[in-house]
Amino acid sequence: MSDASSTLPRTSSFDLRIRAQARRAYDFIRIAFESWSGAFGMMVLFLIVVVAVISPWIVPYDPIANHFDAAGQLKRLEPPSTTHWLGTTYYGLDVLSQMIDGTRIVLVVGITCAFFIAIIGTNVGLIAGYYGGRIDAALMRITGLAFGIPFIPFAVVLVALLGPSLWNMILTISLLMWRTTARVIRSQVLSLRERGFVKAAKIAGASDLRIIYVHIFPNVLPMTLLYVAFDIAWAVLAEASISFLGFGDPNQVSWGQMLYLAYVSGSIRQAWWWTIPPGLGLSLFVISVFLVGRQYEKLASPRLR
Amino acid sequence: MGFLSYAGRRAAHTAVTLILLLVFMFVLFRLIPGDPTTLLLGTGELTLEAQQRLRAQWGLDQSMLEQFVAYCRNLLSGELGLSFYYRRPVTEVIAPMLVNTLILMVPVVVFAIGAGIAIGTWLGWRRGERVEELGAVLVLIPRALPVFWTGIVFLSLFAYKLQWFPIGGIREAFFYPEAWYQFLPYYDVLRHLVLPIATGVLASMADPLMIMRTSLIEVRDEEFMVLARARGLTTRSLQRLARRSAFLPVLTYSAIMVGFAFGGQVLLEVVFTWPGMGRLMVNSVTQRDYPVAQAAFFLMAAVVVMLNLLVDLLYGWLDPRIRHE
Amino acid sequence: MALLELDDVSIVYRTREASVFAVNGISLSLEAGSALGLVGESGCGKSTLALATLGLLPRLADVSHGTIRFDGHTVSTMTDADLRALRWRRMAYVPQSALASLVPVHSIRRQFRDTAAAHGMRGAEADKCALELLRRVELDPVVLDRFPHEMSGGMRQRAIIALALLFRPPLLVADEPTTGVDVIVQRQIVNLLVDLRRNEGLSLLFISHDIGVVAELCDRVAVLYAGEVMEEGPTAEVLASPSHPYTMGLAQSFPDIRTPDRPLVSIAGHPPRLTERPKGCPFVSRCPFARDVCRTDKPARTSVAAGRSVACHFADEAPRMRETAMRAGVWDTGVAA
Repeated sequence: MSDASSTLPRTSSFDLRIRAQARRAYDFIRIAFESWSGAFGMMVLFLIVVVAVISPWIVPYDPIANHFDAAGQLKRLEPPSTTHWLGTTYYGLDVLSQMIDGTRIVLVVGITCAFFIAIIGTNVGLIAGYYGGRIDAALMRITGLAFGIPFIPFAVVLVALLGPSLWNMILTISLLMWRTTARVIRSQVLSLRERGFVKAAKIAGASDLRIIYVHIFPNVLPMTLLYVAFDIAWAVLAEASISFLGFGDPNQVSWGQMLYLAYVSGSIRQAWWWTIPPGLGLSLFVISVFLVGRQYEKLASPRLR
Repeated sequence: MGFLSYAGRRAAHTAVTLILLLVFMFVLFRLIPGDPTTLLLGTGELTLEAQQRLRAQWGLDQSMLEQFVAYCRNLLSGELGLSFYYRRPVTEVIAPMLVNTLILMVPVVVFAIGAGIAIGTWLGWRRGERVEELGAVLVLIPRALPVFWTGIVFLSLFAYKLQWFPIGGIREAFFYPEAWYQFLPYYDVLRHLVLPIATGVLASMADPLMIMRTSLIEVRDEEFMVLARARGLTTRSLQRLARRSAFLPVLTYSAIMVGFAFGGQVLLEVVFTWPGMGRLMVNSVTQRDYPVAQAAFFLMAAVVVMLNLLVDLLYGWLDPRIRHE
Repeated sequence: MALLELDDVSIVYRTREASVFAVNGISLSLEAGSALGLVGESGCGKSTLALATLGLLPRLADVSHGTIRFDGHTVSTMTDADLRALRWRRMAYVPQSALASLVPVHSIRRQFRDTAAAHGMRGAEADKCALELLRRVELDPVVLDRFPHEMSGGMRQRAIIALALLFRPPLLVADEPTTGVDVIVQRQIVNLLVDLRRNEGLSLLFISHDIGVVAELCDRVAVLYAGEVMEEGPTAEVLASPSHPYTMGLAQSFPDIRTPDRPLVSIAGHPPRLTERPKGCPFVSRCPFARDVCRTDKPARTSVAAGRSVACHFADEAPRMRETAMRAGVWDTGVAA
């Protein structure tokens, strides 16, 4: 398999490293597919990602455009038909278009929140676990506080304070949800701290920062990633809940908000085409994240196999 | 060491957390832009001058610190302030709502934990069998369903379509019992409780269930279980022993669970139009009625913190190894 | 008939990835009133065998071949319910780690009572027995209301032996009870067991990798390697004049007070992974006397004297091998003349 256009020697370490990364990525996907449930979850997630990315092109109508019939009447609460596959809302909007558009929020909120949660939670856990003593006590006190604050009431207050925008929502969610990750990472660090390789690094004169981030962090990374996966699901549910209470971003279409509008317009009585899809979408998304996450969890604790 | 010193330390820890919570919350609420007077101003009810007077009357023109000190002093004497919206003492507004919330929340938590432990044990003991593997996946489903959505689905199905249960609220304004069982005390309230409790339990039981199951699987393989078997204990005794040890993580979790339960409670109360503290809190935030919102919020947080303390104490009593921490 | 009989027993652990053949065709017997020691390296199957005799194998493992008979009952095929009648009353177990084996959240008194109740003994009587037994093992009765984590290792070990004696069982299966305790406690435990054997005719299946303790306590010893018996016979004879290369190596690795200056031996290499049943002799990779036939044919266990058997193709060359075994350097490479 010669590559005449390549200017790098075939066995360069760079080449090998790329191959190793590719193999790791392949393994990553392969693990999920090892069971039926994992495969199912992976495919649903993949579908949602794809839909979110190509949504502007596949959406049948503008999600926030009102539809009128031939007589100029608003097409209110129309059941599914050939022109509107999932029917219309109380305000004459096409449900299918809204569903497709809603996938984007799922992705944006899920990934961004998980990212922030991972950063805050992991760092708190690392620092508290490694330094111990007063720093640990102080950080754990803050974490305890975070646990003591009930999430939805807090979110409601914060969004009222900051205004209902997508970014405020992301901020709110991230501000409290790091607490579980922090606790888990901290207990991992506590046990890792006593291990030989850490002590060896210390004796060799490595600075604390180096030990934490170069030596300990790679070992807690699998756990972090696992919780990141679950946090994506929680974040999406949180956003849906806040939107359902009416504090969602009015400029975005989200599945939680769809349910909010369905509820306050008194349409849940008959408009099953409006109430079922958003909830079903959320449920499928969260289940898929769980199913995929379970597969990786088996790696982390072999006893659960 | 011993239990008392452990209890004392935990209580002190809790007190500090409560104080921190109070400060945090106080500042938070004062940061909400606009105060209740602005809302009233917007509706044209007040002139600018009247607004100033009202602000002075409600102590809104003092510095943050002064307000905080005044608040703490009032809190200690049980005085929670006056609701801006209802023009009544906050305690009067919250008290009946609190009772309503508890009527719904307590059964949900109790049943959820009970169901979780029962099913979790059942599944955990059958580890490795096909039914367990299927069960483990099925259990994830209720966890994933948004609680407000299940509420809506239950409402449209059981309340609207089948008309088995009422569509919301805590009781009918005019309820005339007809059949004999409808004369039973609190029948009407119970009727209204069924759907919300079912929704709440479905959402909340998944976590205790998974924790119990995982915990039981691990405990089963512990060495003391081997010796227990060797000593000739019956299967029932063995299960009881395993459950006893496996149950501890569930207990720890139950304190956290109540925190989540409050969040879920808010959603349940909104969907089922239940006149409880959760719904009150959401409404009062929208109305900028922050004495009420503040009191409700602090109450919820305080309950969670106190429950954590209770769980810590219970854990310390059940597992003597912890008392040395 | 012997009190305990193992007849061509094989035990397999089946995991999703692979099967582990922990025990391969072991035959042993224990007469009433005697003590049999099982010695060998970690992973040679002695603990597995001990658990099997009590019917305590974990779910992943089962007796794939052969039978285990205790007191006339075929233990290897009995259900848990049937075994319950035998457990603790007729055969008791002293596990390796008392800390992990005692219920962490129960007091010692509670553990006695629970055990007693499972066999129909009342609480008050259990307390009485407990006091007596604790005194027997030289423990202060105040220990009754302590929790396992509040006791020292030695105290725990003695408490667990006391618990094992609750119904004066004829057979005691002890898995490394002297490992992990200091020499003083070790001495106490050994003295206690010697005492029990002498005064009450207790039969003992004693698992250990400490040959010194086995030499003192057991009248017969079986040397295990990779799930098979290498050599078996009266302890004094086996240790004084071993007939199997492995036993020879083992004997050299323990200090002997008669020759304090002799350097200790460490047999090079490690035991084979048991994911496959070895074709020839399992010791072949580390045996200094290995020859081609050792790789292909499994040596049968043959009798070399009254009550002694060895599994080695060249058992009759034992005296010569013994001489070579004492030479320095023979065990370092694993291949010799």
